[in-house]
Amino acid sequence: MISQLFILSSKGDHLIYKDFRGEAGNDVINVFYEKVTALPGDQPPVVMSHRDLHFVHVRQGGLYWVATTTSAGSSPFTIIDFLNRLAALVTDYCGSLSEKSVQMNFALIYELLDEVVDYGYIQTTSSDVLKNFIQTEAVSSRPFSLFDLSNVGLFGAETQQSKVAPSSAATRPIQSSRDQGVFVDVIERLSVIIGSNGAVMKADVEGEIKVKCYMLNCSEMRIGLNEEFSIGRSTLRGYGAAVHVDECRFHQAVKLDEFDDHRILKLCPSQGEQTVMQYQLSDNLPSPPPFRLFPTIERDNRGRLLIYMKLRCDLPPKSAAINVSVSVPVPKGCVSLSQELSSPEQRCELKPQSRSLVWTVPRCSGGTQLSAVFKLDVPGLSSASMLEVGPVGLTFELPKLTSTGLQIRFLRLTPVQPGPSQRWVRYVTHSDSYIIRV
Amino acid sequence: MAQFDTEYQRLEASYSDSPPGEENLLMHVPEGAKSNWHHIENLDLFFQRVYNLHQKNGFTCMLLGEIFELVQLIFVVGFTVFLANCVDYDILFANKFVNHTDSSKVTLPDAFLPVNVCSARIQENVFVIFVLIISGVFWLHRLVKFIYNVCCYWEIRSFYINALKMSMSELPYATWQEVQARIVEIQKEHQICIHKKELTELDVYHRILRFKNYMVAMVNKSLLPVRFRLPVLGEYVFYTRGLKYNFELIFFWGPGSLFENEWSLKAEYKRGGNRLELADKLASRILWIGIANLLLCPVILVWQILYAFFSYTEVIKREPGSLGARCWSLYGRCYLRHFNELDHELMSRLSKGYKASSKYMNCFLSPLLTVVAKNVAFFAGSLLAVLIALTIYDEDVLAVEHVLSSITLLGVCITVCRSFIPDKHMVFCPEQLLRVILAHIHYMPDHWQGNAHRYETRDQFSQLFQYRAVFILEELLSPVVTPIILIFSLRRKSLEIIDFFRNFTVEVIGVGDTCSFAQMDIRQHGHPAWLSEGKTEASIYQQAEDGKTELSLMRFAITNPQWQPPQETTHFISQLKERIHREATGVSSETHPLSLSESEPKSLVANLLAGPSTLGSVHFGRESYLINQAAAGVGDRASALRSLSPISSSLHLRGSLNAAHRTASSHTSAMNKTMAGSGTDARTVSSGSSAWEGQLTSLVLSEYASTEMSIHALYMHELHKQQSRGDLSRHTWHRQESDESSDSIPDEVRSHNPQSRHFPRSHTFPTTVSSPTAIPASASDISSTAIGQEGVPSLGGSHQQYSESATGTCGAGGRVVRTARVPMGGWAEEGQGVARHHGPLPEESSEDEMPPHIHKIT
Repeated sequence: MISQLFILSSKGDHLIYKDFRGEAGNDVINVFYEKVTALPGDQPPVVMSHRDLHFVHVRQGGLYWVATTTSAGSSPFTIIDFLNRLAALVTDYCGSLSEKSVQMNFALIYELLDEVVDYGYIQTTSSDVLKNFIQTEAVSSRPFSLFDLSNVGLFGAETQQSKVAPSSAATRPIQSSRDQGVFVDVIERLSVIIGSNGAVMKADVEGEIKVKCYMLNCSEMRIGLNEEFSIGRSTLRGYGAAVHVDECRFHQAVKLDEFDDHRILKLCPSQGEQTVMQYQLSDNLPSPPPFRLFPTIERDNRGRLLIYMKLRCDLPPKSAAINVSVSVPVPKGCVSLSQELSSPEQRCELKPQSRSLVWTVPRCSGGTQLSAVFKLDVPGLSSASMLEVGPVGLTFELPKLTSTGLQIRFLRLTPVQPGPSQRWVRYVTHSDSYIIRV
Repeated sequence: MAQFDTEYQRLEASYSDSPPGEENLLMHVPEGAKSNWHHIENLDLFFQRVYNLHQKNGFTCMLLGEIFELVQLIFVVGFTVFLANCVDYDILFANKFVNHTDSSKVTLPDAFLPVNVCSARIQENVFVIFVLIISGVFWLHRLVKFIYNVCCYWEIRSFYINALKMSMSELPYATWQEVQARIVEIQKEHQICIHKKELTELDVYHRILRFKNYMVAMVNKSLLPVRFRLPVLGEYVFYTRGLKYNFELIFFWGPGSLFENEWSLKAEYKRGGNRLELADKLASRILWIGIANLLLCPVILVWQILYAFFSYTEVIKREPGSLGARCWSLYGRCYLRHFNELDHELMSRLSKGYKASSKYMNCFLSPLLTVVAKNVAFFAGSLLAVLIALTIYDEDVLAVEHVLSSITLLGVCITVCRSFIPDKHMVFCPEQLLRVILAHIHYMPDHWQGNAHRYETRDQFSQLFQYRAVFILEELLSPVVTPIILIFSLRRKSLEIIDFFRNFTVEVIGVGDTCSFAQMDIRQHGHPAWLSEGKTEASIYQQAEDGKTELSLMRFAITNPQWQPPQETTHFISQLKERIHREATGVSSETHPLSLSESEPKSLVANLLAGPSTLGSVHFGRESYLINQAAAGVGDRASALRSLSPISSSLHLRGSLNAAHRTASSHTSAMNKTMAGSGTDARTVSSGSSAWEGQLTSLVLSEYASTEMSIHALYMHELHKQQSRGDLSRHTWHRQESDESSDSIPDEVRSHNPQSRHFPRSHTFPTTVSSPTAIPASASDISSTAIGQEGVPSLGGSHQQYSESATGTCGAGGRVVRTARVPMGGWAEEGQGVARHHGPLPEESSEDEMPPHIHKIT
């Protein structure tokens, strides 16, 4: 049972406030914000209480989504789930989730809240049901068109754009019936720890298949995965293109009657985004970890700290990693930094507040090796402070690559859609935590 | 979903990913330029036929051969029946008197029974009728197959003539490599295979050898039940043609086999889901086939006996010693075969090793038997001598009953005994022989080396290289034993077989399902103890044993220089080749101070070629020579030169030929010039007209290929030995029980090493050191036989074919660096001459004096 529901921006602005039961006053928003910001660290507890009022909040899209409840009987997990679901609904309806989009679409969001919650009781969060009641058009911050001028080749010539769509293509309101399409995301999160001797100590992948559907009349969707997809920890692994995961979970709407034989997921898609399948694989990656780092830390005769880094990208030569950023913890009291990087588009900055230097590489193709030299001025450098150069963290994104090798073989919609197929797929592997110990 | 910069790709529907039930899509094949050979459906069969026709030397030869085979079959059956039923042996043996009016001579027609008696006898004999019916059915089957084959091969013939532009008359003289190159060439215009734009050599090999590769892999992984522990005989290998046929029937093409058609495994076998059910299914199938075998056993037995009788009695009669002759066993052929090795390549390799192998086996004559044989031979010989002497004195002795037959028998007896008496002039040098054998057969368990003199090694080797008589006996026993093996042994392995096919089958575009081992991917199947350390990611289950992946890869890359292997593989090959070159030419210590080889013995190749185990005699010779010589370094250098010049020069020649062949034909003139300055082999190249140059080059290359492979095989084994010395690997003979004899390897090897250390370092080889870019093209023999000759004086019939070779070094700019006389054989005087000729001696560098512990680390 939800007493109040409000959405705050990260700065504490009231974006949406709705009181369902009138059990508490308007001032609880400020109480909540003070409680959240007063706590140190990034991760305040999800459930907090103030007198007899309980706050449950999630952070999505940089916003605080807060529900308050008074009765002790209501399940906090229900509320957490509801808040997440609500955020997903707002994302679906507004296209993207940001402070700006929430501000612009406040009317739509209030309308949604009216339908979703009644007197504190949750009614429905299904977009299939809701689409009959929600009438307000979403206001998009930027008029989006999949086929704007840049996409059209001269005299209708085939351009690259007919093969690829920008990632923003999937961020549009589901109500816009102008372009229909299905977007499938295969996203994998890598968490890897590589020891100082180069041995991989931990390598886990968590992956998910998300489907974002803009089809109006689509009764069934069939997603074919690799035929050699195998689940479970068996010692005998298939060879070649076999894709192996340790375990996987499916959305409840997925029908699995063809999964065993043909690795086909069947589902009745509702509009909006759904996570169809989640899977994970630990310690048994089919490919070597994408990056290796060979650091050398020295102290030169002028008392500066020299860090040589050699970053090797072990991807196949045709793939590349983008938005690579390497963050190296540096000793306390580090004053200035001078660097030698191998190309101008790379950059490096020192972040004194987090005591780290961040080396960003916009693009790093497979098989290449980047090297960099950082010279740090640290007054009073001692050998103990050299030990402060701690484990290096990497963040990156590997487009068009899944580290497990999972691929979408096909995607079929029934009834068969006329016209050009609007089925898009995106494979991304990104780093969840990629730690290389020095 | 917006947090990523990755773009979406359009998901295209392609025909291959259509789910079941929706795949009735038609493939549009564009009409090619009126060729009959685009889009051949069953390319496996097609390539096999192309290969067969080539191996059988053209259409006419094949046709005649098959016709004669049919006729022979009728003859075998007819003649047997005739001998059994229509001959009155009493007349023949003169037990019965024939009343002839005119003369007392018995003629052959007298001994024949009249036709009506004969047919009556046949008709009342049920067994003969049974045999006749079986043979009749068999013959008809052969006839139908023959007619079908003629039609098929007629098509292949026209393929050769029209598409490959090779006439049947030139076919016997064309190598398979040439035929294959043409096939690869015409793929571009005829589009034989529709799935791929271009065929590679590997594709052709994969298609021809798809099932054989599986068999090789299964033997390699010890999956097939061919080894048994018998109560009396000990460990025994039983693998006959009948058994092989049954295996193939079960796995590959019989009804209900694992394969759907020639090129694809059935879909259910590719998934792990219901492996237990499938294993059950397979087990019951094996049971049924075993029972069928059991039921047909008399038929097969009769057939085998008939066939064996007529194929072998003639041989035994002609030379009784031939029964003692050995042949490579069927198991040996499977064990020794590389992945992707065609029949003729295997056969030529094994034939080259035959001489050394039989010599090796002959080393192990049991002294007991020798004593017995000597005495038996003595008695038999004296009897024979007396009989012959009597006959010479008066030939009427021959007419006495049984004298002729006893003379024959005694002769046979003496011949048999003689084969047990060792040659007086033969030297017992098993280790060297084994090394020579290894150079040809390429595979050998680790523990054989250093244990060559042991009887266990000999026994194990005899499993690969058995007596022909045993082979025949096994073939005769096979109909009885095969069903037992199938029912009791193979059936238990059905789950493993199912797992094997699932795990090691990989679908290759344009080839279909093929054994993944045959891909020769170091990463997937390399063995860390075989040079692919760090490159392989295979689990123990996935590693091919005995370095099969690595050796097969080397062999394939060497025999098919045009083949472009994948990136990593190329890297592996080039690395290995470079290593060998480096060690052969000895530039390692100077130019690559930080390279890999630092941690390894420097001149492995020198060690390998001139090491005590190979060139013992040379070694001793050198020592005595050293005593005579005042300047010890000269002697060292001389023997270094001697041992290495054929190898390195052939490597160089081949390498340079290869490079030149690949780059452009524009270089041919330069090459020609180089050749002109070189020795005999090269002269054949340069003497040809320019139009033939390319082809000839490839021929020369393919002749050198086996040599190069021999060197590589030896080198890899040597390196493997050094690598795995520290940890006694899991590699034992067939990985069943650990062999006790393998324990002694390390000491043995260690004891060799100090000797090998003061062996000459190869970097003193003058020509290559002075100008690395120059091509030291020297006339060299198949140098492995040179090794053999040097090591084993009595091995080669031809002794030291070259006493000299001119080393013409013609660079691109035409600068002649130097012309040297490089001794090839083993004459120390000449070597000394060369050493003087090259002026100041390069000092033995300090790196040369490797601290001894490095050897132990590796």
